[in-house]
Amino acid sequence: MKTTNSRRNFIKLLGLGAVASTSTLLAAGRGKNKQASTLTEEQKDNLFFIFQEEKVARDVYITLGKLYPDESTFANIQLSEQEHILSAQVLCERYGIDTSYVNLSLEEDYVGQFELLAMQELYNQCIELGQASHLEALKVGRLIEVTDIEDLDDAAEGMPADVVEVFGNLKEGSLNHLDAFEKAIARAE
Amino acid sequence: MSAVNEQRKETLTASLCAYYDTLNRGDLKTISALMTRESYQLTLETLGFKRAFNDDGFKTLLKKSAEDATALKEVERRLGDDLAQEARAHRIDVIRFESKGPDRITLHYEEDSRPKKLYFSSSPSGWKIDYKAGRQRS
Repeated sequence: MKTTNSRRNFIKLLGLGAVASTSTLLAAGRGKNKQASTLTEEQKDNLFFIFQEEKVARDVYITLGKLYPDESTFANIQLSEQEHILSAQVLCERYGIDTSYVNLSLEEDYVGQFELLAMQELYNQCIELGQASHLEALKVGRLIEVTDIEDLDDAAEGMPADVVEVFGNLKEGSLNHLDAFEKAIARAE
Repeated sequence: MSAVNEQRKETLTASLCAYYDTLNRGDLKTISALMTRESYQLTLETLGFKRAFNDDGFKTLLKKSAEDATALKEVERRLGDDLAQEARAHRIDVIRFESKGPDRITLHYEEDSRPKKLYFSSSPSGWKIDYKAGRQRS
């Protein structure tokens, strides 16, 4: 699913639980007062796209968490998703990318609503699959994380050190999310 | 911010309608002509997500489709059949056009009364749907 070095074909940049999420945010914020490196126009486009993708993962986990309220994995991970959206947003803003018109509201009317058809489609399919059963929902989460991990290295290729650092933290986070889903799947099977 | 001229608005509106119409019919070959190559591949990946989730063979095929014409053809055939069966019909209303720089336009529209956007970028072969063109470019 990799058509370019920098495109992430599925969702987000993700991360792990609260501790790692905080470290990711810190990593994103560390360079805030530094002179940002230069990004090419294509790199900026990719970064902005990734930022928009973040919402898909978060909203999938929010919705699946509501469907399966006894499954704490969704609730735990969705919290860090929100923080990872913010870390992507920090990166965008550092490089002069306006994110103000992307609606990231957590209000019920906005969760699961996407202005770009591709993202709406992805969200819809994840939810449709997850609705089948608790186990299938966990497998959707696992696939999101696996795909994310596969793509993160590509996304970082050619990016400046500060972006690579944040992406690296996010990849670590995804590995932790994956571990959480694997354990939850083992419990559910 | 520069205005979008009427002729361009017509061109982009036609692309938007064709995009939905071809999705509805499962005519992926025609969709590919409306989009940048990268956006088309992303479209296949999103449309094929559910199928790939349940079918490892298709997942492999989908991965190969970015670089293998035979795999691409098979992916298009299967997803086209799925789409044609679903026959998604939507009411589309164009709201406004927003210039995002000399070679980018965002088309704001409603799909069944829900706000949506389609990004376009200019290429030597004309204006193409480009999922990566949502950012203002100077």
